[in-house]
Amino acid sequence: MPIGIITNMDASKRESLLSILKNASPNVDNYLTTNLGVAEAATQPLSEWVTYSTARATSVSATAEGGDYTFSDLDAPVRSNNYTTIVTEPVQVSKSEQATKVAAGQDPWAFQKAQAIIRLKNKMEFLTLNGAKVSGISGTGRVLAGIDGCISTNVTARTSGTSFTETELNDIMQESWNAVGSQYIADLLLVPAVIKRRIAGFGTNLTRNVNASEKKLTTEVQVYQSQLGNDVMVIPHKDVRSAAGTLTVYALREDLYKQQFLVGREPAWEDKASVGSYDRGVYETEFTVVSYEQRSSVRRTGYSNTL
Amino acid sequence: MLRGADLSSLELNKYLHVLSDYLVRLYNKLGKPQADIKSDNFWIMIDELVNNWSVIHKQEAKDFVSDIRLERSVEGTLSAMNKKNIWKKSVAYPPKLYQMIKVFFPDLKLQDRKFINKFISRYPIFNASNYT
Repeated sequence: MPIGIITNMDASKRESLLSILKNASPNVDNYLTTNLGVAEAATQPLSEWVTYSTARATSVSATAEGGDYTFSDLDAPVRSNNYTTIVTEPVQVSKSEQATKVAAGQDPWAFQKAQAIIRLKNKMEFLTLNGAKVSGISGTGRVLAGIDGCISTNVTARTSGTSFTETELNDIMQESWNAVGSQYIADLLLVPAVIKRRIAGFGTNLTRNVNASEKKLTTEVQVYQSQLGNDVMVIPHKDVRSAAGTLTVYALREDLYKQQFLVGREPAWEDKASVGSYDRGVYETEFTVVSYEQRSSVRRTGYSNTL
Repeated sequence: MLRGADLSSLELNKYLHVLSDYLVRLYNKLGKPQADIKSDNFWIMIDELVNNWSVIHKQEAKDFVSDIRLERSVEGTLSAMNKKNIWKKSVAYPPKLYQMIKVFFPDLKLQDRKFINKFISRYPIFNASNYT
């Protein structure tokens, strides 16, 4: 039976394409790269600094009246180091693409450049936390040791699936308190989202049930009064390992970590010569992580990744 | 070329440009105050940041207020928390306000207790606990 014409039959209809581009990429939350301080520029790819720490006295030999002094070897500062890493984010956009009208009406070249700097920052963030030190002498790129790799004193691997409890939290802070002077105790907990949610639940009244959906913000920055004097900020971080068995919790002293750029190598854009039908260039930087005193930090792994 | 785009977000972007310009000029006029809680100019700048945050991020401000009320309503008693070695919340920062403050005061330790005490006495809404 003839039905005249319906939209399915009409090849001449214009497309309905919204001119809104919603960018919800998860690569914009970069706490460390945004908030860590910047150390004085490095002058070569192997950056070094010195640390000094002496243990507390655990026994005292009294000097006898009229007796000789006893001299012993003294602790000397020791060197720590890290390698700078070259991080790049190249962009190449064809001239045809640049001339093409796109849905949101933006200039594809400018758009891709804007996205590239975000990706560069995100790469820096990942390295700052998870970089695994490589000297680069074998022809591969140098890689810096991230905060994860810098911590060597207070490292504990819990049995996989261990529940993250108030006791664990207090033990972590005590580890930091034991290792350094009170002005350097950890003041930042870097955790996966699930641990942040667990910590938030510690202080709630167990006699009242609260529907989790009642809460509207999940990324607010919470500060707690730890029992060892310090106030501690809890930051949920997307690059902290959160898989079962490897879930990691870091307690850090924020001002003892800095990012350091090789001199003149802060993030910058450089146009590259075009030899074809395109424009191209690259965002590039070379930086490392300076850990002035890793003893203040604590790394524990193996917690359960469920609430 | 942004035909059909969300006009309210465009207006917000324009406002943000004007606001950024204003805040930078104010910061310079105040002599680029350091993160010193004893400095009046530092608190003038913080006041401006908090006030403008609540205007430009209305939804976040609204959600934040509602969340803080909820959190305070379910907070355990101090004696129960002490008994179980549970940490007391001291302050909560909405993410956008946190970043705004950090832009002007990168060295400010937002977990410093002296700063927190002054901050929550000025703005009790950020106090995440029923107990001070």
